[in-house]
Amino acid sequence: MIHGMAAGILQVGERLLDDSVASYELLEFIQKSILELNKRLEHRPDAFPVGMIPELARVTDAASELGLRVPEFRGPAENSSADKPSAEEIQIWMDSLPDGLVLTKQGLVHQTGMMLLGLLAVEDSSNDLFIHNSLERLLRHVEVRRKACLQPRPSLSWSETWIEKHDVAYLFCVHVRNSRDFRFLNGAMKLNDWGYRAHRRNASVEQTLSLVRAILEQELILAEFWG
Amino acid sequence: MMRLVLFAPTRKSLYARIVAQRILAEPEVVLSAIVVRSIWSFHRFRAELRRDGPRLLGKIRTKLVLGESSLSESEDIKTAAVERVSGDDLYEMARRHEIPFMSAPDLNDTRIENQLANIAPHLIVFTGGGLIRSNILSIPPLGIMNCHSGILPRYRGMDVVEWPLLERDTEKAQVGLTLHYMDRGVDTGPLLLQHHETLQAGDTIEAIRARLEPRMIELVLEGIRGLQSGTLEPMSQMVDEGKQYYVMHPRLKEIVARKLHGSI
Repeated sequence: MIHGMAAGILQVGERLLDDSVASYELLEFIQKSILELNKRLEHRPDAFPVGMIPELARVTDAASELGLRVPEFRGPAENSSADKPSAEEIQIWMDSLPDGLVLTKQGLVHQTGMMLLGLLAVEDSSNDLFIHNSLERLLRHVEVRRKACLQPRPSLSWSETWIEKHDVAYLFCVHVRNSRDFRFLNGAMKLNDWGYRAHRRNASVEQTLSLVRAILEQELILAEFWG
Repeated sequence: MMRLVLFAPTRKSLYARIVAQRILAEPEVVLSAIVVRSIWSFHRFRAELRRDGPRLLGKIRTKLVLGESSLSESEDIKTAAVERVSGDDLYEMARRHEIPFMSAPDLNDTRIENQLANIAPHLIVFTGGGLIRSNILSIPPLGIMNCHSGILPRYRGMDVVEWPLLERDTEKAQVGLTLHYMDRGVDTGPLLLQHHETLQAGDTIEAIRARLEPRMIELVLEGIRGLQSGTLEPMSQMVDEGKQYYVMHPRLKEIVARKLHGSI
């Protein structure tokens, strides 16, 4: 009797503590966010961060590709290419890494996600080992530290910290496309669940877009591989 | 006589109890001590919660609260051994057979280390209880043996029944067990024996695990006999030959279930 009750309480506790997010909830979030951001761009174009317009165009297209009902992107056409770090910027960032590591005991080096994405896009095998080691290090860290993972050092604002985390989630997804290593999709899904749970309605455009981008890529991969 | 020490994750661990029972019945082998990791440790709870997340509560529920009654599908275990060890925990078993019993919040504790040094076991059989550090790893001349529920070196770490099924077509998935020596890495020590599980029509993860559980015990016993007779040769594995896997996201587990069901 007591064992049965204890088992029941633990089962309820497990369900309550489960922070994974259902697919429909994430898709609804993407749809709503894209709708709101497009409205914002349409009604107050001057207040919309210019650098984010190409990203909004891209996620709007990707959401439509996923079969979501999203408005047609009506932003300025001239900003059609997403902003990527230059080879020089990547090199400067790499040179600044402490002991060549993107993650140390002190924390995550700023712009890690963005710069590694830049490196993945470059067809230069001389960085393959660095990319591989950095990705494995990041994955292990995310899996071991869970919600306490990826704290940037020096510390950043709440919003900037989440952007760094969303960029790493997106990086993991891009790596899955290149490698078919689904351990990284697993890591991205966890990061995205935590990011979704922590997301606030008044988050910045940059933060919302970076989360939408990461979740979208995750959902596209899931749809592509397992329908 | 080969001196063995058993490491167990809890006093009630069914796997550990059956392994202990079977070791006691082995000729030319003596169970010299049972060492159990205490569950009453905040550090242990925190570390396991960090590793497993909310599913730690599920593990506590099935392994500590429900115990044998949660094994309805694992009839092999039930009929073969549960009845014989029923009602016994490892402490009672040790007392009944006059085997030294030790318990500590951490199996790497210096008190455990000192007592093991006195016992001087040839081999430690690990049935769970966390990472083992070099102070303990270096004590038994043969090593510390563990049965991993995945095919090594390819699948190291967690949920390695599910991961091969997600990664490959179910008929090509490498599901099984590996008996190996532990070293400082995660599932990177020399390999001893392997069992490849053949999937069956209508399989579920629970059914596969239920078939693997009794097989684990047999593999451990086979390993002990092989080492005792000198017929078993450990084979080193290269770090680069495998990957470390982590706890699988519930949505990916659902995909695995759908794949097994044949709906993907």
